[in-house]
Amino acid sequence: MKIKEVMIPDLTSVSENTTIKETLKILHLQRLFGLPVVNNEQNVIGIISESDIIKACLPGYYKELQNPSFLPDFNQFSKQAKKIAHLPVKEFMIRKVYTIEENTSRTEAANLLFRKHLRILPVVREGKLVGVLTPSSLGKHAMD
Amino acid sequence: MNQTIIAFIIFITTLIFVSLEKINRTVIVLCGALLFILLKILNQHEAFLAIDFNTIGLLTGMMVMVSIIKKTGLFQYLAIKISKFAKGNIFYLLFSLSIISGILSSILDNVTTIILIIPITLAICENLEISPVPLILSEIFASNIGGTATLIGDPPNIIIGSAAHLSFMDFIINLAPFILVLLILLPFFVRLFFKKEMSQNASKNWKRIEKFDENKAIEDPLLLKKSLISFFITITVFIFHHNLGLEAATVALSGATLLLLVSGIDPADSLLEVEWSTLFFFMGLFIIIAGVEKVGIIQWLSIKIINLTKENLPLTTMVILWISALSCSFINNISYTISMVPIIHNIGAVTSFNLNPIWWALSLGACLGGNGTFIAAAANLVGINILKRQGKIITFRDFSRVGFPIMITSIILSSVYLYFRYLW
Repeated sequence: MKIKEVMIPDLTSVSENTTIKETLKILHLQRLFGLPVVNNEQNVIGIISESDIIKACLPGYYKELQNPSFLPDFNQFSKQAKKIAHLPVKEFMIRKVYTIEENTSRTEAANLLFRKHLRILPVVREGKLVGVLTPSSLGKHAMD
Repeated sequence: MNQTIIAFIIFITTLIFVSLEKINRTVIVLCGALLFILLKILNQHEAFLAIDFNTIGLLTGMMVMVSIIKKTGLFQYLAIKISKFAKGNIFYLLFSLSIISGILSSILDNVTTIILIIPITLAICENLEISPVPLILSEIFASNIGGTATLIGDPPNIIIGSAAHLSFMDFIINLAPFILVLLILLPFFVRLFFKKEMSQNASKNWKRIEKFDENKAIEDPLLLKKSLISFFITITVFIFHHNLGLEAATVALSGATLLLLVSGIDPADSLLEVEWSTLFFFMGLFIIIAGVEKVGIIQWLSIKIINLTKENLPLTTMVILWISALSCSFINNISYTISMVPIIHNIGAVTSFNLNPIWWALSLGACLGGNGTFIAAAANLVGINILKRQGKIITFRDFSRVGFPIMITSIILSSVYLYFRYLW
């Protein structure tokens, strides 16, 4: 069985110029962890996830601190969130994106999801987005 | 080609490549060390004998202890607690953070100090809405200065202590009081270079800093208790290690083992945090220097220095101090110190000098030289990289504009100190 029979044939994606606010709205509505970022030809050029956005909302020094729990809430999170809300996805997306061809086997896809700790894997046909694969969609299909 | 020329070429090439930092420094010195063995300048037995395992053991022991203690959050706790004394005065903040960086780096390695202190400083400055640059540069300078105070504070001291049989207390008595004076003077000096930044208003948002809860920085109170007890036992034994007839490495490794025993932490985790690359860098250098010494280059250099200074102890001390400081502003102070140790031993063998002032001159020059430029010490590069990740670029010139005068002033003061304490 090939990936094209297991994938979610959902073409929800954003362009690199979509704003972070809009992206977050789509993620929330679709209950997705991440979205493929595509260009005009529907080629996958990146991926943006909830955690990339949360990371961008934290002040820079948070990432450097051994343990930031001593810091009280100064609304820095929402201050930073408002600052990035209207910025384009291209500033925060992961450009090194893993994709999988639709004719790949399920075992190979499972291996990729597991080894790279991916929560969403865009499925492509000659580089163009045709769907996505998530660990749960793959697992559910195998158990059915 | 005779062996002396080959050895000289390997030695100089190694030093140049280590300074250029284009290829990993450990790989470079291991290549150099192995060339000495492959070309039969040294045999393997001689090479292994050349490694000073007292230095390696002391470094390993301290690395294991620090890897465990830093998990407790103690150092973050101290930094926040002390910065609160500033009460909205930006100079007091600069002063307190510099002093704590200096004191921490006298017991921790400088890079660990910087990695712990700078993020806290960034959090403080962002909440106060002030520029962090003067505070962070001052912390970097303080970490290089503070490391000079003790046997365990900076690698050159570990090397010198082992080579000259100088104890933990010898460093405390001879260097720590002077270093404390330098640490106290440092913030006043830094202030001169950052008049604009130092006039920022830090009191406006000070209430935010008051709300920092240092108690929450303590991640594991039980581990903290165990760590503190083990650490104080280790420091106490360090104070008496010469009287007890124990080498420094024995003390550090015993402390590390005691802490592993009482904390129940898996050694596999702590040992992963040991900087094996640094340890192999040391081992490679010890072998290279043994090779250079065997072919007579070290002896030749020592005679040159003695002739230059006309067997005059004060002059020799000053020459060593200044050459060390200027060299270590550009080259790695570990390779420099390992190279200088046999030269100073030779000077001692040829003359009737009391070598102690020369050892202190080497320590002060090699450690304080680290403030000269940002390539001079690992702590400088690490600190500047953290700033870079926050979008604040410090160039070579920005750093040297403040660092070089601070280094020169500290060496002038060191000259006065050494002269009046040992040579007058």
